[in-house]
Amino acid sequence: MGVCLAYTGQRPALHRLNAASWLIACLCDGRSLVEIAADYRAALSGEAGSEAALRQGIEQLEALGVIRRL
Amino acid sequence: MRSPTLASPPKMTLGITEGCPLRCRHCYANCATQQKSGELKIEEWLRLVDQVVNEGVIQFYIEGGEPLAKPGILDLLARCSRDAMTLLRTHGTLIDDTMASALKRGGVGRILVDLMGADAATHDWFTRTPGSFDAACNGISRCIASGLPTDVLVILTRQTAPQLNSLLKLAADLGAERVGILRLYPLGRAKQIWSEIAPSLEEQQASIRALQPPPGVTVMQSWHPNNKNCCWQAAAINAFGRAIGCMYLREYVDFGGVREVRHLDLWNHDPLYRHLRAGQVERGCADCSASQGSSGGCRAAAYAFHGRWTAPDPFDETLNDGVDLRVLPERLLCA
Repeated sequence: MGVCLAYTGQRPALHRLNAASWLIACLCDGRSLVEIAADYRAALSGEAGSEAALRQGIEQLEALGVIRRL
Repeated sequence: MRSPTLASPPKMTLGITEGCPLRCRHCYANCATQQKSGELKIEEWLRLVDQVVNEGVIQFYIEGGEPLAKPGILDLLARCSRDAMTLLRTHGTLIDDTMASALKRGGVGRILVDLMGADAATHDWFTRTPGSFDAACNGISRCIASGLPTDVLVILTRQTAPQLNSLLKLAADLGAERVGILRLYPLGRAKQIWSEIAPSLEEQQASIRALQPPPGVTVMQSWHPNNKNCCWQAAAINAFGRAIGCMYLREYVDFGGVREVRHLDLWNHDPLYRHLRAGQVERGCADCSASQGSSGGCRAAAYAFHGRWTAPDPFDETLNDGVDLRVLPERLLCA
């Protein structure tokens, strides 16, 4: 179906992630921002794989509480 | 249109008890005042939750009966909330400040409180419990004061139909975010008073079209063109541990017991369960299909009035086929 459901227990809510956000959430497994950016670019071509898109995606997921900086 | 296919259910309803301190005239579960013999104990629910979370469930909808009357309920809610969005449907009468704080601490994501009318006379007539309207409204207020997102639910009956806008205003005044207007289903004790409480489809539609929600309140309703066939993702367990797909199917199906068989095995192998999820219907409504991504409307309603799993949903004006929703089929009254 192309979407992923993510639960944020600290602020109880269910979020529907699109494929790009889903990818970012998967990449945020403890690796560095540089590694995340490289793997993100490798997985997505064009505008969707741009640095700006990645930055925006990370900010949105952080705001939702799906990911956090370590 | 065929329904989407899922490898496992992402959402699950747990109807954890058929005990309730109220004595509602239209109770779908034929509730007793205490939990019934044979109900799953909280320890069994906890084991089930562990299992289904591992299999992909990410949202629990917990109802009854009155779930807050079930001994050990707070332990179950905390366990569910740890790994999944957890919604609690309640009559609200058992929620004081202490309970609301406990629900908030336990991580419950949303509370849904049933009101049977916009005033005490209507609500308490349905519940046969004087004071229950005031107690339910107080429960809503306590939840909101504790920071719990809270919705009001109301079943559309002949009695509530003229009160819906008053109820929307009441919900807004209490601070509720959303009001869910639900169909009346021919289940449990509702069947016995059907002719007294069931509105015609025309009356239902007129009530829905006349809604004027105040600012800040969102209305949820499933009449045309929002009529969905949600069986494709349906998973529900009744108080006795029987997998029934959806609580509205409670009198029509039994896919097997989760005491004996893993739920995912029932999901994968029960022929009727698979059939319902596949979304095979004789006819659908293009507008509802476009808005909901599924076709044919509610299978419980279709089966109740037609006796066929693939039948059209008579609650949809484009699929009604002349069915008078105020009159129940004889076979339902015998069941």
